[in-house]
Amino acid sequence: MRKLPTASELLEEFRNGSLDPVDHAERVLGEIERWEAKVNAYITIEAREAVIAQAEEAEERYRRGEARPLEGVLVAVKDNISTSFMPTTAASRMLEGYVPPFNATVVDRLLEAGAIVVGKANMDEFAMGSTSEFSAFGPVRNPWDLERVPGGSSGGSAACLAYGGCDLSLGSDTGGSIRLPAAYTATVGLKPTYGLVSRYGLIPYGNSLEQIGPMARSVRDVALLLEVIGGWDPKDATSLRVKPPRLSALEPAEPGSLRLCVPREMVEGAEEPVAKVFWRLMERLDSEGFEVEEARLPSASKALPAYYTIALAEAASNLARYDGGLYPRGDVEPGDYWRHVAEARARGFGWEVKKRIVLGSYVLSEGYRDEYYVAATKVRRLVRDEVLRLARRCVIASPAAPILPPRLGERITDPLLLYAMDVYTVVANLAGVPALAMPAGFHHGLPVGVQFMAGKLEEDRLVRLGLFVEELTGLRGVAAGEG
Amino acid sequence: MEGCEAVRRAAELARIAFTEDEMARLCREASRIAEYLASVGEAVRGLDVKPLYHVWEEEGGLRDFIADRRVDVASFLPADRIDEEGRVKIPWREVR
Repeated sequence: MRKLPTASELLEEFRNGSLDPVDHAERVLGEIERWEAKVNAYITIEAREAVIAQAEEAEERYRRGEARPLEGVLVAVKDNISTSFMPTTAASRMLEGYVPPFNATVVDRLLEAGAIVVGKANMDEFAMGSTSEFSAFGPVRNPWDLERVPGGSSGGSAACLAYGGCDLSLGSDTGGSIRLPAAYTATVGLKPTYGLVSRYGLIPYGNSLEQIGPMARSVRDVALLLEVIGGWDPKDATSLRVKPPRLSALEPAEPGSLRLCVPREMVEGAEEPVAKVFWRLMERLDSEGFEVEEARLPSASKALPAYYTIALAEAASNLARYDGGLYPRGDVEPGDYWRHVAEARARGFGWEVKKRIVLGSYVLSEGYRDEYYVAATKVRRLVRDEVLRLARRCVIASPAAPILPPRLGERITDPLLLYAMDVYTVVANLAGVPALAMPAGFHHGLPVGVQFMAGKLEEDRLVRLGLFVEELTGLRGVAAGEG
Repeated sequence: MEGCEAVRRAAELARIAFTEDEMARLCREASRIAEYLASVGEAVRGLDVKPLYHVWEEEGGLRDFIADRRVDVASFLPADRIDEEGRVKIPWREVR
């Protein structure tokens, strides 16, 4: 284990002149060179000359006193977020070589803030997965143990943070895709309130559930990144009419200022090492003066099947646009339109994506819609109402994942075992509330993450609690590898 | 999911081609998943709960400026494409 500078620390060093953005960029590119062949965190990496040229420009801005909030910071962007200057594939052969004609709003905001996009992060195809093994460009490996997965679907965004191949990253979270990888790589990830961050330019999977969110090596860094990307966007009809949150200057929560609730349904079923690390942290918080109490969230036990039903239905609808024509494939002979579509999908999509589309079509089809999709949306209401009620009196705490990071191949052969990895994270997506995942500790060298959930637009409570937890665990800035 | 027929039908609806081997695997996996997902139906059976399609439903409706521009489909579709309840008829629904 080693410690790497957080983005906030880097910015401070850039400002006071003790570190040069060009030297820093060289160091990060060196880490990428050292690790990337083993980890496979990136699908596309920006050309060295382009990164250095942007770092030189950042240096110049610091010299002129015109530095912007993220000037010279290197950011990885998940490959389902549109960039007009780099291919955006969503880790699918269906979009191989596709360069969008526009930037996602979050990317425009990053660039306006002076960040340097160092590359596009690997992921599960179309964000459908929990291990980052379902990428058409090969699986991502966990830098803490290369035989294990980094979690998914934003596995590349987390893995490059964990080995020092970027300073900040963007992920997307439909059912835990930011928080699971954060937990498995000892990094920090935040799924914002639904609507706080624009989804314009995000290649859609489950519209009503997903959010783009910040990932980093510290809680203050995710706060800083959320300030830059958050706030209303007229291009996204689901975006909330709110100003960007002001979070990066918050102080850690005062003991006694917050109460924590641990719903029984969101901790039972966790394997022993995970439960042990989680409860040890809860005991420490309790002894520091945060009241920790057990609570109930009865509908959480039905959250997982409800989540998957809704996500599959939305996936089937969203991915209907890939007909081999709008995003053309050269390897399918033209001819009858529907045969062409079926062939293009058969060749362009991976197995997991095809399976989810078929299941999504099934749960929406006549005769089954009420039994599956409509029922799931009813469970969703129960979950949302219970979560909002509980979040009014406490921050909801749970392990981020029920198991330690699995070995490659261990979970993907059984779909239900794979889906079960999301059991604690899907609750926040169904309820639309913000959730923070961060390191709670380690078990035999493997990271274990904790998750905190708060009410709608209460990211500030999560950040303040997270800052305190970080001081308590001493795990701010940890990274894989020898120091 | 009642056996492989329902899976085949869903694959047809999804317009994805599968080989016979793939279809056999899909049947096995999809049937297990569908059985698991069916538990949501049991969870709400008998409960008076309204569906929730947008978490912030109170803010999720059409914004005024969009609602103002709403166009009634009946104003441009031929009369035989609209049913008695004002819904658009989908021609290919009657084909199968």
